[in-house]
Amino acid sequence: MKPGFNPFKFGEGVRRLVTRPGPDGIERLYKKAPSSDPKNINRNFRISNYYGGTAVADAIGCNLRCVFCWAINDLRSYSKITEKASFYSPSEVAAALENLIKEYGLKYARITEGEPTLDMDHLCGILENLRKSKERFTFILETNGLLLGRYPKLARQIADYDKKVKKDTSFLHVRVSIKGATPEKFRLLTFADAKYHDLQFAAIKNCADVGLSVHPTTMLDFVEAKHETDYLRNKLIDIDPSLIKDLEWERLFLEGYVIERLKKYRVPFKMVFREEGAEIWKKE
Amino acid sequence: MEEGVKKAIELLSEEETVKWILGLLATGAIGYAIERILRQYLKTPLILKTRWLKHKGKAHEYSGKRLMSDFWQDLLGDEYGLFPGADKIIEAHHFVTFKDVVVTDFVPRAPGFYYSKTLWNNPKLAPLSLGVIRVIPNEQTGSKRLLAIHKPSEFEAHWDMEKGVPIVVSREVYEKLGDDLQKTGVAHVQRITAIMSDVGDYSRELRMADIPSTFPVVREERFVKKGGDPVPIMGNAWVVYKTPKTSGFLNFRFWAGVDYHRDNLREAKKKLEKLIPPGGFALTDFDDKVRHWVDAPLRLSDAWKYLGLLGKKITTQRVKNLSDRAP
Repeated sequence: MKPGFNPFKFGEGVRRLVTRPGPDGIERLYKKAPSSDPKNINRNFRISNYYGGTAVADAIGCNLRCVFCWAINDLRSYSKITEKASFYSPSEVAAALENLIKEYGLKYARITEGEPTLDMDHLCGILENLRKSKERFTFILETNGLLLGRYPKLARQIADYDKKVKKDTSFLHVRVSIKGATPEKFRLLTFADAKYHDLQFAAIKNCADVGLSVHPTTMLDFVEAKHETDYLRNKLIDIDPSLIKDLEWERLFLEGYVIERLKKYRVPFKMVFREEGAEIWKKE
Repeated sequence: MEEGVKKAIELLSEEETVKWILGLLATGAIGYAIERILRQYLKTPLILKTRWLKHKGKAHEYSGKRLMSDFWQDLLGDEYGLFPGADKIIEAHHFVTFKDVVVTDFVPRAPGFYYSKTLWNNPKLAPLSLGVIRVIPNEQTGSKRLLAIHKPSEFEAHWDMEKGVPIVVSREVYEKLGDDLQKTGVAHVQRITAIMSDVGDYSRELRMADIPSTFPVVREERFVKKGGDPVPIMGNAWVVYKTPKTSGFLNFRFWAGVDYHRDNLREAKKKLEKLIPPGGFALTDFDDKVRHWVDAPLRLSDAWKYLGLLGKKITTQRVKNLSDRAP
């Protein structure tokens, strides 16, 4: 197996592209509401049906290059400010999310597409603003966990915001998206070096250690053999056996360009999808 | 008045007679009260009944973010893939209560797959878990309806309907939920109590080798307490198609629990249609309630014969035999 890239070096380069200093803290590049849903027209951010309804900000830029990512072209398309993307300060992001929560009675907010932890100053600025909100909601931190796994102090840092909010439900929940059940699959799916795979599990542990609500998720479509499920199960049980029950099996979204990339890089997947996919139907 | 009673009154003084009559009345009142209490106990207080059964380990309540995995663990026991050696707790005739869930008529076609040993031991079979079905009552099932319970959100982004629990309800229960199901495809329920029973002919619709056909059954509408807004949940529409040279299975996602769920289903159908290879046509689809492909020659039950053959060496000939029935 060829060594992969270093996601921390790559991520640092991406961070410089998608952030800039502003009068109100570090600003980050976000896509403007891309959905065709009428509710999202003329809005900077959007609402989505996931988690039963969430206020969503679409950040640009990630420290991985996942082969199945539907936002893989964002950096190329939006790295220059266009009508479809703009830099936002932490307070602007928080205010936009809060407005959507208030207007639609949503229970969750999140930053998706890009990696939210890429710039911790920006993320902490958002959390600081959101925690002061009078609305009752949970901020779901969707992350690949690499930075939270490598630097436990970052988990402590965001846990502080959770502790400051005294509500019945968690203010903050971390969803660690494990890219590939094994290090080999991690390398295949993300192009990053296999040695970084373990950091995703470390992120779960670091979050759990500081009392954050956390759960793991992985894509079922790329898990092929029993040794992979065994590896995943053992890693999670080592941290906390109850994580097995919280494991979220994600399913692949097969957009046209995702299929092209999967074919190009010869990534096996098992979604039944016409003849081009992993066909389980024998031809006559 | 009976002769004996008349004699008794004659033998008693006036005062004693009054006492005697009052005594009779009091006895009657106590009897009446006891009867009322007994009747009330047997009829109304389901809570008391479930509490009593719970005490005996025959009633189980599910709520919170692990609602689904808790239920499947209790139902499947050792067959549950996540914790080997788990006890099988739920048995036939036990009471199960689900709190704060949504009910929909989209039912996982392979219920329990995500929680079974099969997934962990043979993840290649995952495609078999894809897809929901929507069936309507027939001669065999009577007026009972096959629905499913889901627990959306609670930090799971991709809450697929495939993780739901099938549930059979009587017509009266269905009518209670019916309006909401029509409007958005889901009904939000604060509390639903069911008895674990064999789901009879509906078990034919649910395909998973190591899953028992014992699921919750609700016969009376008083066991259902509605409440709450509809919540979006994601389903997989699917179709089996045939071309002159091959057959295939396609799926596409749609949303229920939203006011545009019917349009969303229509869009899913259009997208699926575009994915059928040139010269191909739909053999059947997932939905008995709305026939998306009116010319599809096979019914949903026939589709199962197709899908049941997946992964078997005899597939080619048997699929051919089935396909030959199509024009």
